[in-house]
Amino acid sequence: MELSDEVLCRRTAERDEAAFEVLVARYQERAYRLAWSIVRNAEDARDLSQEAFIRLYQAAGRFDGRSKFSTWFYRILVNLCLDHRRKDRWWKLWTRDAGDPESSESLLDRQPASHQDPVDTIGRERTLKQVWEAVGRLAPQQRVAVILQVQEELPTPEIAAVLKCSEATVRVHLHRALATLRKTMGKT
Amino acid sequence: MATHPEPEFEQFRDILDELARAVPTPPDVHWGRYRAELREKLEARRVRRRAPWWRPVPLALSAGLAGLLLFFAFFAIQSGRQNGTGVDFATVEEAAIGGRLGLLEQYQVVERLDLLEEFDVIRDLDRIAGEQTG
Repeated sequence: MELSDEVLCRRTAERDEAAFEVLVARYQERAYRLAWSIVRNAEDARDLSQEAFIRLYQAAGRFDGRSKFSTWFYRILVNLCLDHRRKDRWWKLWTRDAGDPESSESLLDRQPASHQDPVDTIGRERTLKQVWEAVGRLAPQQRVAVILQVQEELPTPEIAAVLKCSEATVRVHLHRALATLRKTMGKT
Repeated sequence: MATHPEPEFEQFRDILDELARAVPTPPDVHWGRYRAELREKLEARRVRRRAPWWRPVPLALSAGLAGLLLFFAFFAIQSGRQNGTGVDFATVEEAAIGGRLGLLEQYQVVERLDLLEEFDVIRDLDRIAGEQTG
């Protein structure tokens, strides 16, 4: 029988290495994908998701089971990613290597080759590219709210738990983000 | 694809659909290597936690540096005194007080400054003080 995340977390707190390994195997892809969506760098995403697992291992005893394990773990990961982006921005400013939002190496350029029908029009591709680039330029909380909603398909209460804010605040973040994205799409 | 259950987001359905259709995928990762790296990092963290000397090292370095600076500052002051070029802080303080003697003479007026909120009154402070003494 497959053990629940919550049980595995409790066992991890008791330093059960096997339980921890199962949790890592279960969440590694989601953690890496979410981290990558926020920081947009494969190496950083790998480091940050690994760091989230280390924090999980160290703090497993503090998981009280009031929320879902996934929500608790996402919170650790999202906080790490947002902290990283904050530090990274200052570092880039300091080294005068600020990331150009209109950078030539866009999000879609860094994706593996698409398996979609090549008949897809260039205009449509450009629109999708621009809309995801626009997601990258949103305010951090708005960006994370959109990613958690669209990519991770989390419901509003869970997004609120991850971002440690009220559901109303999440709705405001999403509303503003989507309005900004609509504007971007309208321009294309 | 993500379908937002709340009706207030219905107006953004087209954008949500577009976004969901084009969710970008990150570069591939070798998961075996990923877990091996994670184990290494975790072990390194454990070793660091186990080593009781590790944490105080930066603290000891900072304290040492601060001590060194204090020593040089003390040494510099001492040598200055011996050469007669040192600064006597009592003299400096006296000089500063001396500069304010005029003000101290009019201490009664100064005491009432909070009552004299009018700028004109403050500007003519000398005249008022003169009238009082005169």
